Amino acid sequence: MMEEIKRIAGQQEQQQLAVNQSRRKFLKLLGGGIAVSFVLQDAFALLSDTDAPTPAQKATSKQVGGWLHIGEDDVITVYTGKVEVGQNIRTSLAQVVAEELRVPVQSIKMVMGDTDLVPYDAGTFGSRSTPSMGPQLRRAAATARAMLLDQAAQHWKADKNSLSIADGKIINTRNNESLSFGQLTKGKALLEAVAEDAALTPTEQWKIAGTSVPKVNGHDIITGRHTFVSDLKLPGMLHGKILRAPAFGASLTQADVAAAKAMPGVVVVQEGNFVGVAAPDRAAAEKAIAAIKPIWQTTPQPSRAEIFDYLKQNASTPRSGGRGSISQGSIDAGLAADKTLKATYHIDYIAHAPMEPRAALAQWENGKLTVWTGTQRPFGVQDDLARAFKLDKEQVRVIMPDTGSAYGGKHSGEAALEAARLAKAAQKPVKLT
Amino acid sequence: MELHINSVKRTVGSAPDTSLLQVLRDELDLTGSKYGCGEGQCGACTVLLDGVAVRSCRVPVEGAQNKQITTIEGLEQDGKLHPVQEAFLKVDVFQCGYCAPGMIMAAVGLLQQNAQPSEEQIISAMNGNICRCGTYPRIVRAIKEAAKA
Repeated sequence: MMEEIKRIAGQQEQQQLAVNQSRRKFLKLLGGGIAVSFVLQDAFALLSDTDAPTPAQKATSKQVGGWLHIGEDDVITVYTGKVEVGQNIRTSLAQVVAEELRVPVQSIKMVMGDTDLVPYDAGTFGSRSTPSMGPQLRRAAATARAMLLDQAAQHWKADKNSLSIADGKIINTRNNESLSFGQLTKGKALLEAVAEDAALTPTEQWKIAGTSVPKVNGHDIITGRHTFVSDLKLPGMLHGKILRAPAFGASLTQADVAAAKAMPGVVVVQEGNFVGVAAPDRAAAEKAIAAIKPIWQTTPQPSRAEIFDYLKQNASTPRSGGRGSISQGSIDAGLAADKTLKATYHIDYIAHAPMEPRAALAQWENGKLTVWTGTQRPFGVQDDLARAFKLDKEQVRVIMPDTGSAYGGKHSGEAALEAARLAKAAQKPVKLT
Repeated sequence: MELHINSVKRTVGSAPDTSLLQVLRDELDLTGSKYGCGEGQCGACTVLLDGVAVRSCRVPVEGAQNKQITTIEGLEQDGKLHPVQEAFLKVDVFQCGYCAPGMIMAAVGLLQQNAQPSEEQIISAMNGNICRCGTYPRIVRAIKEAAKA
């Protein structure tokens, strides 16, 4: 890994190239104002993640990792590939930016996990968002603050020490004039890479970051207005249903789909083990899938009662250490106590079980595929989709609305792939829930 | 088929054995109620039928005829949040929020039956609503807040 870091560090001259690329993309996307991008340090942040990115991902990772934009309309937008699955980073990352820019949390707009809008990110996992993305956004916001102060100093031909910044305005203390961030940047298109030495607000002076603030979209959550993937609807959208295997490791020997195909408005896709249907409504999709009489070849699997012993007997060699593992004290000394208790506890063998089931909505338009799905790795799913459908990555957009939890169980994008397959065959948007 | 949802009469065309949840979400675009397990085990789909909390994924829509159906969308009145919503917002209960609509409807149902529940009664009434993020202590706190209001 050190070699990899050195290799990337040796490419510092490419930083400027990356900045230029992001500048073009940024201005095209956002118009004027002030923008801050990340360059090199993202590579380090990514390499330090437990789940190392693939070589293809590394190639892009040296470019940008998060963006901050302050528009002429005073809107402050943060672009990050991190996603919200209930850990509340939509709020906590906004706090970090709000602190450095001296604005209320509510004035920060977070754009998260949309592969067309945000810079590459390996994924949201391993409790890395706060320790890795937090400091990056903090430096970006501090860089933007310094840029704003520079602009203001030029505007008033004033010394920076005579300027103060509060509530989205720069105040000239000499003449009590003030300009909003937007007024200050009007007609300009300023882009800078995040400054490593940006003057950060010391933690003991924090007023917003590190404090308990209400969830920024809390109102939408308690009124049922927040739109999860399964709540999305597109014109002409079909409902998808997949023929699921009855057991782990089962393979499909035969499936007669004639009856399903004969149903009005039903599209059937049959490719190897994959059989799925799309129909105008959920009931029709359920009816169609039920009309398929599959023959599955299954192999014996351990029952619930046997699973503990099965896992114990078939476990791979235990790895020593692991993340967060510490060793202190002495087991022998502890067991030498006057009184010892011995008990064995079993818990069920369960997976992540997020409350929101895996879901996806896929739409093909003029050869471009857009998929809304709850995933911890929007860019990983973009890769998977591009590979599966032999598309350039630019032709695939993955959008991740704030999702009903994941717990590590939504790294992959099966639902996205399935919905896209059905939508391609049906030539209509398909939602899979 | 006619339904009375959030004090509004709605005519629906789904088959009588379709689940109430499916009718609400797919036919009427009332997507606040959530599909979690589809087996009545998680509570994400909880709505009120004549004031009683039920799992709408297990109620055939015909069984909801001639009853007052209340969903999360019906709690706000004239732009004002229901006291239970106010309390859940004040306590800032949720993380991912997928369980929120069902949780709040179950809490409204509880407080309609028992305006001053004890902690044990709250836990017992809310036991069938699952929050995988584990916000249970705040849920109990919010319901106590709402009972005070």
